[in-house]
Amino acid sequence: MKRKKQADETPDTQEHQPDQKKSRLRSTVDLAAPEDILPSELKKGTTNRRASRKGEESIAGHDQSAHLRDQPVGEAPEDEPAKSVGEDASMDGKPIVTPRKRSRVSPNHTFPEDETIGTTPNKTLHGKKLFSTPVKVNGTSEANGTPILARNADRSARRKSTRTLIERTVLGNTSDNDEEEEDIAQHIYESEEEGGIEVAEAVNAPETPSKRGRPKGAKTRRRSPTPPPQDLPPHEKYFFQNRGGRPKTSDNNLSSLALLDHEEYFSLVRNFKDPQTDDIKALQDLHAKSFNQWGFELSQDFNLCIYGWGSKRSLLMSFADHIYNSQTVANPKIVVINGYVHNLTIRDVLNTIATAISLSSQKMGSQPAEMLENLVALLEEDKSQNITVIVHSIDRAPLRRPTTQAILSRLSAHPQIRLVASADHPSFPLLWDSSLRSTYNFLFHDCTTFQPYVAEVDVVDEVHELLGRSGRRVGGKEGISFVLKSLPENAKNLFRVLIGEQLVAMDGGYGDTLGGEDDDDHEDNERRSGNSRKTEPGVEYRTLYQKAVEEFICSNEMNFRTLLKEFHDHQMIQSRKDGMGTEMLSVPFRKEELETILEDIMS
Amino acid sequence: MSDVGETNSHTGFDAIDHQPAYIYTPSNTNDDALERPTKRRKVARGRPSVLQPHDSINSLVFEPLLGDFETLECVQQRQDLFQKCWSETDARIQSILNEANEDTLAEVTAFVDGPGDINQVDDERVPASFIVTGPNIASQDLLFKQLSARLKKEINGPIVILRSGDASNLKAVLKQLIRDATNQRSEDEELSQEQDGRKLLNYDLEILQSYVKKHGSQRVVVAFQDSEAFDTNLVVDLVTLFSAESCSSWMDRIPFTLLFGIATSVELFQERLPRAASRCLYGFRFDVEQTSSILERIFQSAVVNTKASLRLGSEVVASLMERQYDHVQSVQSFIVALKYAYMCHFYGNALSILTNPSTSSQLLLKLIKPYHFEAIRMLPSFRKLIELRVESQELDRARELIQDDTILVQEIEGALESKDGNILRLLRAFHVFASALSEPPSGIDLYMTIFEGALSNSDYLKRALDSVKRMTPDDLVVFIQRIKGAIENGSYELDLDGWADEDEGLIRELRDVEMKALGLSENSADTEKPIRSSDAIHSKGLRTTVIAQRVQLSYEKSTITEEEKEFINLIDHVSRLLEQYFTLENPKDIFLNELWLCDSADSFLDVFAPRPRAAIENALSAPHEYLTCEMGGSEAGLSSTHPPTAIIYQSYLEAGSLINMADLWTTFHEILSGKKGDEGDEREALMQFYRALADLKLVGMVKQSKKKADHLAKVAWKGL
Repeated sequence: MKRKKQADETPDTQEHQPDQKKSRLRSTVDLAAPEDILPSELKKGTTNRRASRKGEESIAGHDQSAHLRDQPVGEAPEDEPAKSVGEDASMDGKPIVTPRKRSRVSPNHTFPEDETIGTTPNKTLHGKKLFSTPVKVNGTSEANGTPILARNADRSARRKSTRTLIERTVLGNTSDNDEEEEDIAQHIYESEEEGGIEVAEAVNAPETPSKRGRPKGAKTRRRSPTPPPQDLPPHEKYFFQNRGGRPKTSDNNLSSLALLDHEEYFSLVRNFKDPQTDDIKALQDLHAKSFNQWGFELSQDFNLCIYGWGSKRSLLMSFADHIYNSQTVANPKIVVINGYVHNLTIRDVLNTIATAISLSSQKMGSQPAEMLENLVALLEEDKSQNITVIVHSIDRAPLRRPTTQAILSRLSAHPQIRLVASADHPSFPLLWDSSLRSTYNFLFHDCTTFQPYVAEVDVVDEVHELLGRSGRRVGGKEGISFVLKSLPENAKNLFRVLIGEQLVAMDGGYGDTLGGEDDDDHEDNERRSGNSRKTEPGVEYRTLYQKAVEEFICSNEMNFRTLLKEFHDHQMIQSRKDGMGTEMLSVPFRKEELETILEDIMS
Repeated sequence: MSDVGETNSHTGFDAIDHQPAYIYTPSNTNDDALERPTKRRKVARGRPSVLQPHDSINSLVFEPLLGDFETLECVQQRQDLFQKCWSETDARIQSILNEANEDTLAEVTAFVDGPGDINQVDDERVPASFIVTGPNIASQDLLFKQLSARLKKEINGPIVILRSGDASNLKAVLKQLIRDATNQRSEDEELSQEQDGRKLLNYDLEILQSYVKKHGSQRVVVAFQDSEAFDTNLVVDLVTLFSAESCSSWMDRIPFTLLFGIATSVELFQERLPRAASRCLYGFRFDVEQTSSILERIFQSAVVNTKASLRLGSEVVASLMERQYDHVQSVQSFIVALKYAYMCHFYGNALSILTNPSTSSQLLLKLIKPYHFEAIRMLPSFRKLIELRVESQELDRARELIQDDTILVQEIEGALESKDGNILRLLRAFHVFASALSEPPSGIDLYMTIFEGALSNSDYLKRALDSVKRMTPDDLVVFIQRIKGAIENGSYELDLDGWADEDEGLIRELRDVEMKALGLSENSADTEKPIRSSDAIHSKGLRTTVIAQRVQLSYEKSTITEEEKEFINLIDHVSRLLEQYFTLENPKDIFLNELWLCDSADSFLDVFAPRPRAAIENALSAPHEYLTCEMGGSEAGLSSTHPPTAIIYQSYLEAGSLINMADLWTTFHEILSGKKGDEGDEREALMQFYRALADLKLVGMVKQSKKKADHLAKVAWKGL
């Protein structure tokens, strides 16, 4: 993917040069010129983007346009996100060209100015923050125009062939150019010497598409001309990193990266050999040395809570073995509770403990408080019985509710119950107020194990949630189409309508913000959808129902509900209440993915 | 370890790891345990009584110390000693706790019992008692437990304690109330829920009514343990339901009495209740003894007490008290900490067997073995002893102590015998000091100063001596009588017997002074010429110059009467006596103080007040402290040998509040492939990247940013 990106980048860069040349011929460095040249394209571009706003037929239109856009790109990336990267690159590349030309036009009389214009964008080869400055000057229209221009340029097959030609010749030029500039730069700004050299490297980078193109420090360097002050005290750091202004991060995104799915992830995990296993083992053995002490502490009516970095599961399980082997009571009973399991309830906990106490199933009642009382009564029947309750991740969501914690703490306060808990979150003590804390009667031990959270965390899901791609849970686009295949026509149609409406809503968000101060260009679409995700575009339940009825997908709400339920079951849609309390339905995918899904359904 | 790693990755797919809760039964071989626990379970259940090889080792919980050389006998002794010492201390504490609430309990019981007679039929208000417990909600639990036990004994009727966490709405509360009330008397009696042929819902108060009728209960006590935490509306609903002027009132049928545990003040609580509700209540306020005074008493009886076998060092006390005042404010947590100190001492200190008060030192010395001597020679107090010998030029003695066990035994014997005397001396000073002054410093502070060995230079002593100088003969008499009383009578709280016969010299001197002072004051009473305090005599000239009667003054000063001169001498004498008496040895300088003094504060705080965030941040930012990552110099900061999460965390620290994931991934991949040089493992790197990200999310350091696509929002700042 990377390679492709690089390849795309260079041609695009060159593609603009004729235009620029033209403008130079007109003897002014008029950056607005491109706009004049291709007004029609611009309009077309915007209509394309807006087309999908008008319900059903517009979807078809949209669809078409999507195809349209796809066709000419030929050997270019085959999916939408990748293309947008290409656009990214072209945008990045462009400004570098522009000033360079200028420097060639008048290398003599505008030394200092040219130098600055020449170097600054160079430095930010891959960023676009600084580059956006010249664009801004010329207003929105231009900004919107260029990428479409670039894309349209792509369409021409002829140009594509010539592009490679130009690429070669001009590339040589650029590097020459750079050296020239570099010389000047060295003369004028001796202090920036190092930067200049790095810049030269960076410019040459396209030749070698390696990861070095974006050195590690690059992000920070780009953000501010002077590196952030080191060794700030924590609070100063907080304010420094939270200072006002727009977030100054690059616009790179992971769309070019093929994300892992569960299957691949687990096969990788299985084959992975951690180089640190020996150390981690040693660490666990170290902690295991205090098992006896822990046992003593438990026997003195304390409960244990261990914390620290790394999964403490295996540590606690070997402690369970230790208890089992060393316990002197006739019938050691150990109940393990996996606090990280999503569907865990306090009832499960109490029921399991009850079965541990007596094999015959007892009537426990339904309310947790009631169950606890019965449990205590059960315990008191046989005073000799000690139950060790091991709770993994006591601070995870299923057990976090205050009532649950209250029940647990009262349970743990019983002299016959010994609680051993582990906590992962750095702020877990906040779970308990002083009353709970004293009921729990915890002794805390720092057990940093560095073991991976294997069972506790569903890594793939968590990361995809971070990435805003929770839709992958269904199995991605493929999963959706698979499910849809097995559903009746009506359901398929309903899903189509839903996606269409959602796309409209997403674009609606786009149109709204367009009028605002956002003057960035098309490729920013990514961000837009991110932006509008803030309000999570969705379709009102009512609206969808109306639509569905209009399209004869269903005749009554019962019908409609049944259809929706099928989607819910496959986690294909999400439902939530917005601020006004209206139910909003949405499909948990990004815009580009939605478009492709829509295509799939339509085809 | 690859073994464990393997099993770990396999257990990832094991059903048992994702089962919410299960009964754990390991098989005897550890490897099997992880793989097939489900099958084992059924088998294990039937036979546990058969395989009990552990019975022989009986209940030895302590482990042998001193590099496992310690004999089982010693270990057993330590353990027994711990049991004994702690149970004694615990008993003292419990008796104080019971006493402390005794007054409140009696009052409340009287109140609950009382108004039953005067409650007229037309008075529909509910009797309520407001128990002001203070902000220490942790001890509310104990109080209400005591209360309910007490009431159950003395009052014929059910008692129900409601906690705010138990119920969130009226229906649930009523359900619980009825359930608790009807269950607690007799489980066997199935309460008929049928009345007049109709089935009652389980939150119908009629059930309670019939119960009350059946048992002839005088009272139904409903206690709101943490009333502030209840939803106000809920309380209002309940109160109005019990006794409203409306027709739904139950007061005429069920004799309710309410108890409210209040942490703030009755006024604030009343403000929260709407008039409609507060009109339905009438009642009294009961104050509970406040935490600080209970704490002081417990401290005196558990730590200062002569019978306490373990003394807390000043450092420990200071850190405990700081925590007490600044953070927890609960008696329970203090007791727990004290218990933990005992546990640490006996569990971790092999020499603690020597403190056994019931066995003679000869017997004890038989127990100890050569390795004990080695351990003793490692003690700081032993080092001090040697230094002392060297300073006083007793080099031979010092050498013998180091080399010869028999000489050391003698020394130990001596130290053990004088140990009790030394402690007693400190405690007596404590008691005398605390009882001599009319406004003594808090016992805890005084204890800390004494056990720092700093009393002789402390402000307390200076202030006390200053106050002596300001005394008139009458004051002095009272003062000396107090001291004498303290010495003769000892202290009940400290279990300190009078020791007048041991301190005869001091007593005689004091009696002397007392007689003289008495004589002086009688004389002055006869002559009607008051004897001024020595302070007044010395400072009068200075003070009255302002009044501009200098002539007269200087006259006055020059005519110090004979009596006054004598009195000044007396005062000086007393001061010297006191100074001498309160010049105490620093307990930490006493040989073998480690046997009875527990003074390492750091282990305490970690165990009771964890700092998980610091631990996690430290682990992530300095993994080399835990693991031996083969890294080239610690300044490198990042290397591919670090755990992936640590690498990501480092970048995370450097980044701003918004983090681009793509860039993060590039950086990560670069670092990871940096050393190995093989770039083919991109997917593997990605897997680790996933893991690291999920880890960061787990500990709540990142979340998805809505500002930009593929961006993370930074949530936590290191060290903040």
